[in-house]
Amino acid sequence: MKAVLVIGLLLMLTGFYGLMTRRNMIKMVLSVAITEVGLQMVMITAGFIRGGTAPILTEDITELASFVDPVPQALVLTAIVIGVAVNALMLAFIIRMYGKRGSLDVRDYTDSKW
Amino acid sequence: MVTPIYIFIIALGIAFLLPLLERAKKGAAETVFLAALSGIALISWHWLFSLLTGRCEIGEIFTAGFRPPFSINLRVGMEEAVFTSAINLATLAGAVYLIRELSGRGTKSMMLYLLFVMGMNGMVLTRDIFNLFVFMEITGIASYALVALRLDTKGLTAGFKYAIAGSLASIFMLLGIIVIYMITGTLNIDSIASRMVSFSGTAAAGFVAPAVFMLVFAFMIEMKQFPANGWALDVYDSAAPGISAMISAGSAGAALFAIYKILPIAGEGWYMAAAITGSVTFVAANLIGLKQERAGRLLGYSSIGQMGLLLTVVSLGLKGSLPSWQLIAVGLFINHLLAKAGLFWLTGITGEDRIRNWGVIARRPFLLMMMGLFMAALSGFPPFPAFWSKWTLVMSMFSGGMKVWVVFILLGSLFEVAYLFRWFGYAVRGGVEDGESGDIVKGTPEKTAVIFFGAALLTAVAYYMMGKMIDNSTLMLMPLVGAAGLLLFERFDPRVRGIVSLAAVLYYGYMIIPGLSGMPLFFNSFFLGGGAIMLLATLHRRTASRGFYPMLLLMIGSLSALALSSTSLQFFYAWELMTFSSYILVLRGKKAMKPALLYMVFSAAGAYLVMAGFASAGGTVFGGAGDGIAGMSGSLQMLPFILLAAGFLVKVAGMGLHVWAPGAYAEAEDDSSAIISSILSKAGVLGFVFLFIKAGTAFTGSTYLYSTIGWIGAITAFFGALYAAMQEDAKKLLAWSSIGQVGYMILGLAAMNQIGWVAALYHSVSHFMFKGLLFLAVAGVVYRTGTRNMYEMGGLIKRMPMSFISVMIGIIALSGVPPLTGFGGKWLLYNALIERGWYLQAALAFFSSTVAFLYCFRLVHAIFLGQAKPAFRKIKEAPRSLIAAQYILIMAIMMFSMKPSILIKPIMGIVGERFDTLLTWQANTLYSPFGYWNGFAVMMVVCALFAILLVILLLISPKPQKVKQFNIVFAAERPETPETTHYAWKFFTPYERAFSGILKPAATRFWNAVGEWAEAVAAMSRHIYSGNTGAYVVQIFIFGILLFILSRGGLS
Amino acid sequence: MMEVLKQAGYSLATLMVVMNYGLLLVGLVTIIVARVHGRIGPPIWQPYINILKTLSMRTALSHGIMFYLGPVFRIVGGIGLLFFMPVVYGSSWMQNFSFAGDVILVVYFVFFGMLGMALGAAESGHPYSAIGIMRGLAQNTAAELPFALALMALAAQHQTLSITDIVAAQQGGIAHWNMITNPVATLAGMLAFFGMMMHSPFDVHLAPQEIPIGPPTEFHSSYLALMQTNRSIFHAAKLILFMNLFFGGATSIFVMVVKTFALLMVVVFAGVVFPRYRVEQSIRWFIRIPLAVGILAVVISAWK
Repeated sequence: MKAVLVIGLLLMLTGFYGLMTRRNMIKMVLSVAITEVGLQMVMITAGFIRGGTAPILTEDITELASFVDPVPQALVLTAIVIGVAVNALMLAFIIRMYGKRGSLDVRDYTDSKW
Repeated sequence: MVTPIYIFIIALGIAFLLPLLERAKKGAAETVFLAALSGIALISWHWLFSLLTGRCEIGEIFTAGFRPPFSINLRVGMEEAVFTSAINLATLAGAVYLIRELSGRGTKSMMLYLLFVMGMNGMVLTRDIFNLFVFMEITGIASYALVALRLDTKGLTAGFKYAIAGSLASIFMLLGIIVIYMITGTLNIDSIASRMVSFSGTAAAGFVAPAVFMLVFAFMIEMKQFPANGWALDVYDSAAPGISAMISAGSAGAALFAIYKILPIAGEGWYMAAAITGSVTFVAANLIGLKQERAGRLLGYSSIGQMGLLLTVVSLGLKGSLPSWQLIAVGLFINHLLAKAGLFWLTGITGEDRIRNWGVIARRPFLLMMMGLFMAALSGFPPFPAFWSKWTLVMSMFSGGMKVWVVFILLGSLFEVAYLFRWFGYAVRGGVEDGESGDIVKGTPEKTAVIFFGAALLTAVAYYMMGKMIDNSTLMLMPLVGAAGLLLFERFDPRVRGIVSLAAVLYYGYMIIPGLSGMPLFFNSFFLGGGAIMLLATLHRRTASRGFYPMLLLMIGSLSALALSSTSLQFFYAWELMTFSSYILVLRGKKAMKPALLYMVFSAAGAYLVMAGFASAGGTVFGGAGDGIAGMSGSLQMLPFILLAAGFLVKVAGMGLHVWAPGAYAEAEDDSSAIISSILSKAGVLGFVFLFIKAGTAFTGSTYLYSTIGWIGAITAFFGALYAAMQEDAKKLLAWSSIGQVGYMILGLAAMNQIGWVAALYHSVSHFMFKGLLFLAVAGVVYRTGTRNMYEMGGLIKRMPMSFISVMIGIIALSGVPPLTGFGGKWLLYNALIERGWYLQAALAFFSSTVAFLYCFRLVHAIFLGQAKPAFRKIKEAPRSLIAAQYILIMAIMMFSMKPSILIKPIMGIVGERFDTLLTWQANTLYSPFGYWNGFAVMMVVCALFAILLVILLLISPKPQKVKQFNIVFAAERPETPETTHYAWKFFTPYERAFSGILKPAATRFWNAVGEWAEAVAAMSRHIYSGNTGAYVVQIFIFGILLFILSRGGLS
Repeated sequence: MMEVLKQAGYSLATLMVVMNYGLLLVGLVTIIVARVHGRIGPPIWQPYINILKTLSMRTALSHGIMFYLGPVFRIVGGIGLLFFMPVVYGSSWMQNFSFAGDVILVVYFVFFGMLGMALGAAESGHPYSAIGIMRGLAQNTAAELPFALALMALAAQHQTLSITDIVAAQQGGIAHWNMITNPVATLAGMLAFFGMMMHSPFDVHLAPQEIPIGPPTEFHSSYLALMQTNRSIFHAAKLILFMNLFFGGATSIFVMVVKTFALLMVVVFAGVVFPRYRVEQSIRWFIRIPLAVGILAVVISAWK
């Protein structure tokens, strides 16, 4: 499970790096998406119990403590949904922007500044 | 009670229904949309009303049938009710404002708007931290889309930037939330807070700090803290103004509420860090705003600044350092909400983004008035909520020992005042650069109605807060009531309005003056009596003069309230009211844009000094009402004394702090100049009187402080006179003269003995009479000739003899030549100074008064004597009402000159027993320990001599031959034209040459440099907001690092 | 009422004395200057002749009401100055109306005539009048600076502003004069005195023959007569003021004549020796050494 956590954190750092260095707007959105994936992996690990079971109440459950915590899983689901929505919206913006100016370089969209 | 769950049900339900409805019936969607928003608003108002009247308890709403922490819960307490009510009100109004635009974009936009509103409500109501995240995202997604609603490149880019920043914030927030959940095992905000405490020292503690950091960092981004706020500026800049209004007013409020809930989780260590971040943002945003030329972005800077200030207040409040912080925060928030939304709305109506072109609004008096009202509210002028909040804030901060904070907050506020009123100046006086002056701004009815509604609401809240905050609020409200009442007469002829104002002042004076004594009596008689005479002079106005009389009445009323004040707050309230009204009066002048701004900035700085002075004085009551006390109260110490004195020195235009005065006095409308110079300039004198009464002479350092103020007075008198002698503009000459004359009053007061005070008060009255007289006479001349340059006039004695007599009497009184009133002031002053041992100051004052002869002569010579110009050969005497007011003043001057005792005796009574009695009367002779003066005898001797000698001259030369204007020769030359013969331009060149060493405008240069530096810093700093999203991301990370360092410092 | 009339009579008598004395002084000064120049000069009664001459002029012009009134203002200023001063200490009839005010009244009244006449001359529309007035005003105000300091030094020394009291404090021999007891203040006062007497080198505005500029060239006939009369009175009055302030006052007319004459001679000799200053030069002169001396005088006097 540590591996997942480490990979998740590395993905997040990769995403941040991409967000800071990329000038292509689609790549920026992708960076955000990568960061979010990393984050979601980190979140998943939060409720994990080694050898635990899925948090589903069935007849043969004897020990509640062996349940994996369901809350982080619920949170991750919500986060994924929100992340996808925002990314989709951003991509929609980018398409429109490209349609207006024919560029994906974020530096070409600095009309409003100072 | 209606459970607030319905807020979400209504919002979501209607949002989904809207497309169906629109399909069923065209136009139905709009109605339902507004009804839904009203329903949401009604729920929150119902809660607010019930909680206020005590009809219900705090509402805790649980979902899914479980109690927290096993379910998500909502809470409606007082704070939640206030915030949701305000937000829902603003969003409802905003929806009405936007309705055409929204429906034009189809039902989607209305759906977005509903989600936006719902998200904000959720952010305020929820007690679950993850739920908070969700609502934040809903609000966020809805606002990204709303920002880009117009589908133009600017809006889309801004939406993209906003979304990137929002995503970053949400990533950090989730990271923080998940770690916190791991440690505490709950998502309930209240449970987290209580559990967090127990983790100190355990293994989990190592995770707590990073988790909390992530969480706070995320919220700081949402709060648009400096420097991670470039994206937010671009959003305000680029979105439709109606949307910007909602984001600035609504979502900023929701974010503030969210951080208010989050900070307790973060723990006490974070309060300081958050407060510091907030104030840095406040100062930085307002500083950078100084250089802003575009309205939307300017409001963005202001919004961000306000968020910073609110964050500071909330953090310090939670820390326990600000006793009544809730009141401060709510006041600031509502003020910001309504005023900022109002200004954004106005931007939408004018459709003009460059503030230089805001002259377009000047033709719509109603919109201009609304703009002025919002400006006043945003800058914290009374009676608006921010005024009371800022006052309470500064008071609490000082009593909590947070002096440095006060400095920064006041500095930031000053910057804000500067750029806001720069904008307002353009609106009133700027005109339109591109020559598109043809098109008049026209708002749709619903937009105008919304703006009016916002203003009305702001006023209502102001009224409510005023009633809670200030003693004797009815009396204090009088000036405002008077001004508001006069607004009803705006459609009438200016003369009617003038007469109504005059009647109001007289009636008000008749009502209050009989009940007064002491200093309040003196100053009220002075302000109201003087105001009435000056009002009489304004009756010659034929132009529309919109807003002139209300503001004039407001100024006279606030001066009266100033003299009536019995608490520090009342004093400051009246002081600020006076500043604002006089600013508007100055701004009415044709070329007054820059001088008025300078006046406003200096006045605001002075007022902040005064406020800091009151704060540092602790609970000391400052005011003059009930001024029956004998002696000095001696209840002030050094620091408050210095602060207050510095504030008042700005008002009296003490040398070094005077740079605003010549322009403000000179560039106001001609009759306003008379009022401002002769009456308003005494407000500072009143301040000093009250200050010295409170301070006494017993505190540490008093000797040096009084002597410093005395020197400043003397130097002001000298330079005022010297500069006056060098002016070409008649009004500038009088303006400089006024600056100098007030210097004598300050010098007299600072002497702190009976004679000095009598001298100062006597000179106040005397200065009012002769300076009012001179300004009115000059006003008449300028009115007829259309120029203020004296060298363009000349020989007007033949055409305007009445005005000439006024000026002649005026200058004789001014120069202090016996037998007129001016001499009494001088005589008293020298006696006071000799008594005090201030011989050098006395000599300097004496020299100044001789320099005054120079400009006195120049004034009368250049205008009335010498060669008449052909252009003015046919002009008429000044308008009758101006002449009437002048001759009332002349009669007063003559009466007081003949019998000085009728003025000096009451003044001695008012100065009273505070000092050892030094002056005594024997019949008509006034004795001081050093000399004596019999004004009556002097007058008699002079009159008798004059009469006798005139008769002699009449006898020996009864009928001189009249000659024509050009019947002169010089050096055997016949004069060619009057223009080349009238010696008036650069009149005192030798004097200028001789004094060239000290005539350099050092103070003006210094303050210009200060201004330029501030602008340069602003211009440089604002380049960090490059508009590049990548750079903004980097800035967010840099901000994170800074915040981290700050929190380490804060935690240790 | 009788008191007032009596006082008025006394004052009139004083005026007569001072006026004649002043006229003779003017004549004498002209002679002295001429002798220094190696000329014989006019007779001593030349000023009387001048006044008679101007009075009998047939032409009297007027540019307007202020032009007409200017000389009246001027002579009221001169006579008033004299009237508000005690001329001879201890004399019952030469006290004039000094009960009406102290030295501050007197020094301010100096400006009454100046201002009034300036108004009159300016109405003529003659540019040179205005220039002359500008010069006079500018120079006179500058001279007031050391004078004010000297006056304050005296006030500090004697703790009074009453001229009578200042004179009283100087009685009992030359050692009690302010000249001896407060030499620095006297020096400052005397430096100012040069300017206030409007003698060379400070007479550029007075329109001496070679520079025909200033009010005296504008006014003529009876106006000029009034002004010439005033000149002698004003001269004498200022001499008396300085005598009172610094040189022990006078206990008899004889002492008064001697002292004021001596005082005038100082100025006259200085004027004969030194060339005339331009206005800005004289202002600069006043705000250097005399100013420094004046400040020193105040500091020393206040120190005691």
